[in-house]
Amino acid sequence: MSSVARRPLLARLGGFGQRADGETRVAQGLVWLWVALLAVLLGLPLLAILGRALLQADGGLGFGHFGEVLDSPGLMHATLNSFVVSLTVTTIVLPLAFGFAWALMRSRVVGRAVFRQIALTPLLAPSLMPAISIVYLFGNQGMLKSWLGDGSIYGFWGIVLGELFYTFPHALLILVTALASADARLFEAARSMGASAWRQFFTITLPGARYGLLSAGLVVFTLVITDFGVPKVVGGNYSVLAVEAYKQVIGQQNFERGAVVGLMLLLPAVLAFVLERRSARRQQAAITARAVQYTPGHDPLRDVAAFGLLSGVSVLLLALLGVGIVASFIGYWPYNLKLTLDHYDFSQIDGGWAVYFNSLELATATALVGTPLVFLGAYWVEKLKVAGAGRQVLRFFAMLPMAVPGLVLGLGYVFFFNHPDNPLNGLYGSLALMVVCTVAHYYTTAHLTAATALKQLDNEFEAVAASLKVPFWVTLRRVTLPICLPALVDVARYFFIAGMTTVSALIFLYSPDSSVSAVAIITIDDTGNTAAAAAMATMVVATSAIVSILFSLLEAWMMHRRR
Amino acid sequence: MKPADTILTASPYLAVHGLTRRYGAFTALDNVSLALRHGEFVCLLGPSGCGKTTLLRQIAGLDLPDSGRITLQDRDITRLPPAKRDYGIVFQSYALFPNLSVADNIAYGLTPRRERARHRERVRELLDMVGLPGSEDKYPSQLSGGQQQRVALARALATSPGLLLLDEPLSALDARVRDKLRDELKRLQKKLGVTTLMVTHDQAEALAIADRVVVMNNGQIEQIGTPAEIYRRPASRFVAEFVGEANWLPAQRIDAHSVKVGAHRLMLAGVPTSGEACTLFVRPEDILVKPRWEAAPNTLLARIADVSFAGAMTRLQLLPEGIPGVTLTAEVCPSMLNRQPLVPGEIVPIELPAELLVAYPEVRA
Amino acid sequence: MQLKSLFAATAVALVSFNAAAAGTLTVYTALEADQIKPYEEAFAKANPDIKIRWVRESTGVITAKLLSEKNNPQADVVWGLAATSLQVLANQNMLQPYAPKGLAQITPHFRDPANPPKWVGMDVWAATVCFNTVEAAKKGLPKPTSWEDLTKPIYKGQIVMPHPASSGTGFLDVSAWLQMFGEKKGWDYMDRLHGNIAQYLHSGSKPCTMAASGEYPIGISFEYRGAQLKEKGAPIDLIFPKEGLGWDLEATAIMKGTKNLDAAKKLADFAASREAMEQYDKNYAVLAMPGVAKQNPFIPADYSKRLVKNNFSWAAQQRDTILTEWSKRYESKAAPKN
Repeated sequence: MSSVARRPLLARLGGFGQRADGETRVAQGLVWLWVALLAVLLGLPLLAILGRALLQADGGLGFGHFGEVLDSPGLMHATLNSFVVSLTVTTIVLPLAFGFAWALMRSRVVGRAVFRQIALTPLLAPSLMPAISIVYLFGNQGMLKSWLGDGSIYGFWGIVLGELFYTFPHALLILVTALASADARLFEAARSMGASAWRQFFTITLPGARYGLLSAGLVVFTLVITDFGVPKVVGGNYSVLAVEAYKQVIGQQNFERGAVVGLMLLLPAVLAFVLERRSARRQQAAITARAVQYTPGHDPLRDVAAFGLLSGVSVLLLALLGVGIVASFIGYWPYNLKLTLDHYDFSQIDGGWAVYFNSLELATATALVGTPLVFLGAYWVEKLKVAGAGRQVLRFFAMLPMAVPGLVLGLGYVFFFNHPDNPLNGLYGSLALMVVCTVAHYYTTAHLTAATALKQLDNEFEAVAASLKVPFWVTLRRVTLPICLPALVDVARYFFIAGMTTVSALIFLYSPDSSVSAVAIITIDDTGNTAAAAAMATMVVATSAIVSILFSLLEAWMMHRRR
Repeated sequence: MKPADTILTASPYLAVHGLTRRYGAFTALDNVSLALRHGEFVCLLGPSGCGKTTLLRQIAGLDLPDSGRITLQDRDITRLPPAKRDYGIVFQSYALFPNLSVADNIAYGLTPRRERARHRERVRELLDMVGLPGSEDKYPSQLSGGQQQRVALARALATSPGLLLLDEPLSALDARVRDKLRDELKRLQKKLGVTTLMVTHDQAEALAIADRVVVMNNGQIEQIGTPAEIYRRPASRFVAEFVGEANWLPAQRIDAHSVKVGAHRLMLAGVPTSGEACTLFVRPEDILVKPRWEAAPNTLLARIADVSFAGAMTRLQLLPEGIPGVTLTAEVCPSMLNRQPLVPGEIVPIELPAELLVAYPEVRA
Repeated sequence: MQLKSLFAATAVALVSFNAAAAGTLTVYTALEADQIKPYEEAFAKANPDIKIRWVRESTGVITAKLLSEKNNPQADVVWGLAATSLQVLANQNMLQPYAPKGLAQITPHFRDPANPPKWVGMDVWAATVCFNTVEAAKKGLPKPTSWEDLTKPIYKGQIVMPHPASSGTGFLDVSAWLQMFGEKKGWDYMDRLHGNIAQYLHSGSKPCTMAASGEYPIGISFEYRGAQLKEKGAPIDLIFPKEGLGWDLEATAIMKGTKNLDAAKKLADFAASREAMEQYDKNYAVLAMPGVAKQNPFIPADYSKRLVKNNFSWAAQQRDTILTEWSKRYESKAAPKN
């Protein structure tokens, strides 16, 4: 023990304790720079909500605003409504999406890939699109109004139907993944013991997807309780919490109450997030590495049932998308059914066509800013071996947005960036801040995509490069980046579509110069010009679809070139 | 007693002094000291979790020790980042850059980047050396595992490092490719004279390739020695068990040169002084099956329980008389069998040669 | 330290990038989106060196926004906001008194009586009921002629009206009913009307557009949107209830503390000018400057006589109380609104 060199504590905190050379210092600097960036993009705005909710008029801290909210019957009513709607949508979407996923994964219906694409199209549309379609379908002048008898679609059922469309693909994606990991050997064993198909379903399929179901349920619940696009358009007099938060902040400029409602919305989301994480950990142990891929056998009866389900749901989804698109070309519903492009002349609305180009700009900028930010962040987390504490914080920040509804994030941005003492408050109302907010809002999924791609790379690339005295940034440029290009394209597409369709955070952040399509759909609809709102929504859907296809082609071409 | 490295004083090329590394409550390296001569090929051998890879990573600078010192040519490199050390490294996974050609992979560490012609020449030279001439423009995915590992080796040697670190380089390969590459590796190492430290869990590989073998267990070094020393005179029961096959006989100490095993008294070179009970160790191939009984030291009778063909050798399971509950494994060569056919049930005289018996203090393994 | 200065530098860069050029006015307005463009063009013709950055929201939102920014006003000028709302700001001493050039030609009771006035009227907009004749025929609904008619049970669930907290049109209805019928009877009237209301909507336009598309046959709205939709061919009749029409003024004011006072004054001058009035005339029947207005075929000639007496200072003072009371009584049924 003569030559013991104790590792200094500071060095441990700083990360590696290596005698810092230039390269190490650069790496440490980058990790902490990203920590600082994400703190500004996420941490501080969320703290600002908390501060705003707790800050009393006399400058002290307290729960006074919570009391006001609890006392106001309107808000408590809205809370109850939100829970009822979210629960209802979750109970309807889960079996539907599970059945759909089951039909996709466990049947031999022809054209399953097409059905899958149809089921995912809602991702390309802002949540207002189905709401508008619902008005045309089931509104008082709706084509299918007679189906409702004396009932009105405005209110509870309108919201439920719209949210169904909006949340279906999210639930489906999770459940497809859950079913994909099935172990064929279990089914073989069950068959050899003479278990019926039903018994197999209830003893193997369902328990196997248990985690997926929980996860999908939580995601759907959170999406519904925090969405306000659908209730805004078809909610009628049925008040919900998300709209209430918007009403308090924008309508009455009552920021404190808005903050309290925001926190109320954050609560179920965080709870869902924690539950999901915990069961995810348990689930990982349950999957064995030796599972054998399941391939469905011959069973015409099952396939007929599966086809019925797939086509039924697909028709419903296409109707909720298509009716809005068709409506945007109709002269004056229901009195003049001549087809026209008049509604695409946006000169009569706030901002005109500029809002569409703002949307394009926002989506492009989100992809351009978000992709490198997320990819490099994921690279620092996964591959750099310095600043352990920093990388830990970075990992936390990367997962945080999953638990933060857009509405709440938007509120946080208002409180943080619009504060007169914030040196960045000049950003408020600018497109730049909206880009930043969108990136932060969708950070987690993008990060996971990038991190997964990075994890698939050989862990020793960096070690080899270091032994060859090549700094990490050279390896990043020459090796890691080129290999991860398809994943990067994926992330960019995700950000672009998010930028085109997102509403919930931006509704608090736009200014007249920076309004975007998805937000404009709401303001147009507010004036009662539903056809123009439909036209704007159609522009968003069309753009998302075209760009999505272009990105897919690009990705396919890259994969092909790599062969 | 910790095995001390005998050449620590002779100005070694690479030296490790009292290295300790803990991960929480787990001690991966426990006060490890080791020295490599210039040009030497040393293997770190041990079961998984013994600390051999941790030690390699400390030397490579991929992980830092909690305490201790590493010197390379008397230069303290303990806390230097990898790039400031001087070594090439090859991993089990090859870690070739899939998007770069073989030539670009090998030239990855060559500087300055613009001297392309010089690099091309060097790459050609290296590819010749590892037996893959003309493969410059291929991509890693077009090569077999063995070929990829050759490229990885060429890449590690491209910058002519003073030290070559090999982390289970052959473990991912098929048995035949592995043996071939093992021999080539040794030949190449001798030719280049590069000091080499290889991690492996395969004792046959370690014994075949290394100048010296370092056997590790539980974060400590059990023994350092030439392959012959390790095999013939294992310093501990762990080493004896881990390297090659062994028979174990419970024994009682009688005096400094004899022990009592069952009803027999066996002579041997030395008996540990500590305690009454000890354990005798003898390699299967060291048990002699005699053609006829004659009274001699260390000779006893045994019943043949089983005879099994094991390729070059034939394996016998023997139940020695007078030592109840013990089965001995012996290996005899075919030529001996030709002279004396052995069948199960037969009783044969066997000798446990005194000079090949080793006694270890009794520890419950 | 470094981080802080970095932030500061970024902020400065962004602010200067964002900040208005010398000749740019930030104008808050509750004008209809389709009205803004011609007004802006007319102003630009007279003042090519001044640019306008519009912030448009519904009356309620703009009022709330202005009040919340009291300590740090963002607007230079308010052009086209309900006089009631401007009076609320005037009461809080947030407006810059200024007599625009053409003030003498403005009808006296269409401007702030103070001298110089804190706000000057542009035009009158008033309550109008849009009645979809096609849908009414289908449902067998008689055409109402009075406010009282709308409380008849036959109209249950057939009427939409704007939310008074977010819409200026909604507020002028409520304010007029209270002034016209008296407070007690006014609230009693609204209690009865509430039973027939299907939705309270965010904007003053939407009730009429909904009526025009037949979504709900009756929409309480204002005459400009009604006339415009009828002109486009919507099957609606405009009803001017016989008890009298609630109304408010669209008006202009300069925010106290504006850094662009000269430009703001130019805009205030223009807003009270004849050229501006000619623009307003395209939308409204009663203008603050007499003698400019031309007859609109959908609006009766005696329109201005049907307007009830409106006490702006009373409405402004009572605005908060009225909205709180309204919210307490009917909020559970309010449509999602801003």
